[in-house]
Amino acid sequence: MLKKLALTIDTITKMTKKMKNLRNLILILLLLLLPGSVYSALDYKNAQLHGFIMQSYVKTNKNNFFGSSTGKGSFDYTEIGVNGSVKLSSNFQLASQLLSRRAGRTDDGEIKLDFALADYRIIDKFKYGLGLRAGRVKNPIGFYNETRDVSFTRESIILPQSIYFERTRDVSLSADGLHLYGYRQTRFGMFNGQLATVYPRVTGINTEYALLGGVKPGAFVAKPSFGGQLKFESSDSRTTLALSHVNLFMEYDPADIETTFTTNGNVHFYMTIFSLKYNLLQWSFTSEYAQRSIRFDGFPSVYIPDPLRSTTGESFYFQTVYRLNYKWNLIARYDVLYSDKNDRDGETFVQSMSALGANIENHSRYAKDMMFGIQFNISRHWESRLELHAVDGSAWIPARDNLNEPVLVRKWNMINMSISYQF
Amino acid sequence: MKLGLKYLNSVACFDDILSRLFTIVAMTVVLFSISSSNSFSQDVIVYSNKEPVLARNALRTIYSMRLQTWPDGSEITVFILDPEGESHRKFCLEVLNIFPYQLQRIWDVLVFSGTGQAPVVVRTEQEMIRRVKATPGAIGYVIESEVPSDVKKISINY
Repeated sequence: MLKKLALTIDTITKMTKKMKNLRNLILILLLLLLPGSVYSALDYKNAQLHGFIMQSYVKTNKNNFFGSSTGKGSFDYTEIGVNGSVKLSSNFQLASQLLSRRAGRTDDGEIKLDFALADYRIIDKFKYGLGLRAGRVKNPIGFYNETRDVSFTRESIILPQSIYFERTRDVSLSADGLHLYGYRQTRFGMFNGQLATVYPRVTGINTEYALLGGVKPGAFVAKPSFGGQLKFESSDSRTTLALSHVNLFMEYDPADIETTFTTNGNVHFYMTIFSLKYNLLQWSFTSEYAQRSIRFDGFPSVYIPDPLRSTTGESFYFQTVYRLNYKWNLIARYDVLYSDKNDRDGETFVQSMSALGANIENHSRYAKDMMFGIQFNISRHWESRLELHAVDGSAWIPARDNLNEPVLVRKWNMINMSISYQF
Repeated sequence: MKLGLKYLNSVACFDDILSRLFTIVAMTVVLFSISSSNSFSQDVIVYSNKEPVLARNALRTIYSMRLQTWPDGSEITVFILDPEGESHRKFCLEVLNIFPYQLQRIWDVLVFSGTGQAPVVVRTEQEMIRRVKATPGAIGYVIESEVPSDVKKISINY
């Protein structure tokens, strides 16, 4: 049944691909709505329509990030989304969102079905509840994955790349399957839980780039995968804690010409994230720690060299937001990624790769990003941001933005500016 | 509490770091007093035509748009005043004990992940009273207006 569901969603996605004009339609729709929606989204009886648009400017001194950002800078980072939801009864709701995202060469603005789900609330009490969601559902990973493309739900233009990096974005974004969720109100606060069994979205060249370093003749096929999140919000609503885990399985089905394969390739990706947020009227402190492991089986070594067959990476960040007043926020963040937690400086990796004849820079195995930013809340519907990044390491730089660059540079800086609107 | 609101109202000049630091300390004291006291809530009137008494936790679950039905099974419709306005802010801080920006983020995540809907925003307290009265299962709040006698006030258990 799950597989059938996944297939149906796949068909819808293919249909939306053909409707390239839809993107212009969404744009026009959004623009038309600007003056009329000062107070609220479009509400009609039990149906709601919401949307968002974000345009960013990225300038780097070295290394390309989201387009050709060196030189004059790049405007190749745009997010447009529109979603509708309808409550058919007090315990049954349908919701869907279309998303068009441009991010350098990683995302070309093609309209994708971001989610399309039916939500049935089985139990709905003050103290506890239980429900079921079916369809394409966003994966609850960490604090931000569910709404990572919606500027207003983030505190910064780009999310901490150590955890929310581009390369495995497609796989972790949303998936087709079933989610069971529940909540329990206690004296100490509210517990929320989610359990998911899904088929991850693994088709497309981004997954091949992320896992195999380039476009290959064969194709990835999703296998049944699992995920879950447990979240606690204290009863004074100051503290939020979350523990998220995903376990994704996929298979590489080689084409006939790929004779180096003796069996299908198997990939197992799993990630655990601890999240913590402490909110005050003017301050918010956020920190997340993630460990992610990837294992390749059945791949010939020309595809996956031995040092990459099984690795465990580590990521964490600390972030502080200070609200000067209603209009201005300041943000600071220190964000660290290690591709291999047992080889933080990448030296061992460089040596074992050079033994195989490959010349790799060790800074491609880590990244430390110091960021300062300022946000101006123009109104409830408009906001604008400016961010400065000083980065040491190139681990999360999208490879596809730098295909023409001879080498990536270890220390680089970035300025981001954005303006966004939502209704 | 008054100090906190006044502080946020003034678009401050950036150079006065010392007074800012002082205010931060003062804010912390204010925050602790919010969580330990409930004497501020006399101004905000929460009302619906359903439950006569609600725990603050339950009210926050309702305003977080997580709860969908009343105990009798009827659908909850949540109304708010302008989320940027002073009344909404007062309601969040004094009644719900949650910061307005947190509540806004909760709604945004629900809406943009497809797991819920946003509350209905009304422009004035008069409209609030009219719509809550006209909508079965509605809940809303006012601060300045008198609630007509045919609408039930909710008393909140803190």
